[in-house]
Amino acid sequence: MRILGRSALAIGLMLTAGTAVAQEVTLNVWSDPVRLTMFDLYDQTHDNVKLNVTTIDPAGLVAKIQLGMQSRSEVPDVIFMNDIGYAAQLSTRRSNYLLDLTGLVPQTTLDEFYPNANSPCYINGKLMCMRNDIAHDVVWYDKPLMESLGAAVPTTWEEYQALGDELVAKGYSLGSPMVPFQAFLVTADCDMVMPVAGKDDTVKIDLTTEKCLKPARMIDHMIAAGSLSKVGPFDPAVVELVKAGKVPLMIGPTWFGEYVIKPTYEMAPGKLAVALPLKWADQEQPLTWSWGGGVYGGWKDTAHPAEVADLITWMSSDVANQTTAVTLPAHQPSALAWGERLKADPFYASPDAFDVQVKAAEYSHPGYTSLRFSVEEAIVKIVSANIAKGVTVEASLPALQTELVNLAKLNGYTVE
Amino acid sequence: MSSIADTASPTVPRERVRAAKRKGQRDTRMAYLLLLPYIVLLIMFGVFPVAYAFGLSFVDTIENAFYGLANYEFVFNDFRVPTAAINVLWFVVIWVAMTMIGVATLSLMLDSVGRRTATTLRTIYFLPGAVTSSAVVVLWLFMLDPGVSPFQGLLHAAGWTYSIDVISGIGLAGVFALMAYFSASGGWIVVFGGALSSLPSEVLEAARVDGANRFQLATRIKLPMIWRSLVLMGILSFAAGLQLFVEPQLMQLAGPQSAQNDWSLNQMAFQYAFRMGDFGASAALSTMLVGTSIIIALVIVFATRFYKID
Repeated sequence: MRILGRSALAIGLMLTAGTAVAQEVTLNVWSDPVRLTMFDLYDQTHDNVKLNVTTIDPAGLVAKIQLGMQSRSEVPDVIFMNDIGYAAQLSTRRSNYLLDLTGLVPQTTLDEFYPNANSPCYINGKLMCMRNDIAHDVVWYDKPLMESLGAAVPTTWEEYQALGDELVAKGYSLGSPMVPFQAFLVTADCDMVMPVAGKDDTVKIDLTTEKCLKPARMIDHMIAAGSLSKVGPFDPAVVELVKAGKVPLMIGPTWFGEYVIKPTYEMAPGKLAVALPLKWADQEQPLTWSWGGGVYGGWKDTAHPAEVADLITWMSSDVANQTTAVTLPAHQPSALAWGERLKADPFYASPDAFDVQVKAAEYSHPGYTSLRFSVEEAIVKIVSANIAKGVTVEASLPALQTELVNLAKLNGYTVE
Repeated sequence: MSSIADTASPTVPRERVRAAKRKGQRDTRMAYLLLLPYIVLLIMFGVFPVAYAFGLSFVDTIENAFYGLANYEFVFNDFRVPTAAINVLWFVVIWVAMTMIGVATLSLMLDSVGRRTATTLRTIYFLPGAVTSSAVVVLWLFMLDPGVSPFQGLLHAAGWTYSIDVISGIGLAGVFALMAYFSASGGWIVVFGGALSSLPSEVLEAARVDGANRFQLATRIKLPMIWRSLVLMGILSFAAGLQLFVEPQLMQLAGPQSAQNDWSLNQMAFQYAFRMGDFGASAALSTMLVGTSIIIALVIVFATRFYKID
């Protein structure tokens, strides 16, 4: 009897505890494996919210959300998107998933982000997501190797092309462009599906101008000369070349140092250095494209929009959280705290590796935005296929223009 | 005995007929009973989805309103659809030709070698088919990359340095046909092994007595006898080929420069539903695909009297 009484008391206590916890809000979260620890940290440090985190294959995210919405079940409250294109793809009439965060995130917080860091998140002027990390392209180089070759680090694309010619003569190359070349093609402000300010769902596509032809000719020259490979940086042939120390300089996004050059290219410590992105001789400052940079978004029909906005804001801008993040935070104060680790890392040849990357963020291309279709895929389909057949990039631009215009119209954009 | 038989004869056959009829009905009922699980599954996972997709193709899935032929119009106006259709046709032509010639040749050759060797070889041919098609695709991506392929020398000799050179050289339709051939042909070789071993031995014996050599035996005697099964294989491969999806979809594993997201018609249906959220357009395209397959099947069954029993 006594035991029974005691357990009844325990149950009673549990019930009261239960009512106290009942105010706790449960949010369903779909995360990629990398962001799991960050969501866990939020769960531990916030008593009012309980996170029910599911790990999702990032490539299948959009498909799974479409299915969830179509079957009206299992739609997550918060998601991490590893492709900025998902933000646009998940805020159309047909796949209307994303919560409009405009007004839900404090302006002071938004102001703390790097310039253009959140431009992939503004869709028709509305804030549909928040950026986790920035991934603009910078110049990576092997400092001792460049010095031994007597080569200067280029600051302009013209110098870059000349350096390529010089290196080929010595048996070296500049590695791989970021196939499919989009990052190179837009450096002179080419209108390759750029949003038009002030006009909803309107893009500008014009590949006939010198702004596009100039970079195209440079790529053609360099591929023909052998200073630039026609395949991506992860192609086994390129990896082999870099490992063999035949590529003293290569252009790549900010995460290249930690996640490609260190582990994949296996560069020895004390060699890697970073320089600012390149500009064309007639440009005042560089214009650098990005590769990646994930974003967080919420569900427009969530039962707890305030908690969803808080979680998204915290994930992207909490300094303690972002300090341990794997990639360069898009939020400035977080990035500065994050960079301390890089400054002390003997892997880099100079302590300014981080400062240069942060400085380069200023030159981020404002046109790096979220689109409902993939420009990269179109370039692969048209240009990469042509390059394999020996047709130049320059000669492929008219076909690419047609493809992009068709794609834009099909996806409901007005093309200017 | 005879008297009994005489007196009973007018009644017994009637009873027997009745009994036979009852037995016949029981057998039919039994057959239906045994067929039932399959029919239930066919309705649930075959007929119902097709009917659902057919219905969905006339609906706007967001407003849940009747949409007329708007979904079909959208698909017809998509500039990628004609290209995808041509791609798939090319693939089907190459693949079906490869399968019919390859499987027939290999099966006939296996039938003319010793039984033990044939069984061993047949098992080896079957092995790639035992691997799921997605794994076969990944395997081929490695084989076709001159950087990592075991056939490096061969690929380099052809003047190919990177996987994109190889893919461009062979052509995507050819690459996918190659992948599909190796994953599907082993099973067919086993099937034809069975078909060939059941050919009447007296006919083959007669041919041998008449002085036919192995080649003549294979081409003049065996091939005409299994011709119908070969055509059936061609038709089934054609229907399966129209639904090409896994091979092009997995090309992205070879790197962003190889990704093919709108190469085949089924991929387009996937893109509509899962990238654009347009389930109506996806259903419209799928309905057209299934319609094409049904028309082809009907033509073969009724116009060519393919299933007519001699």
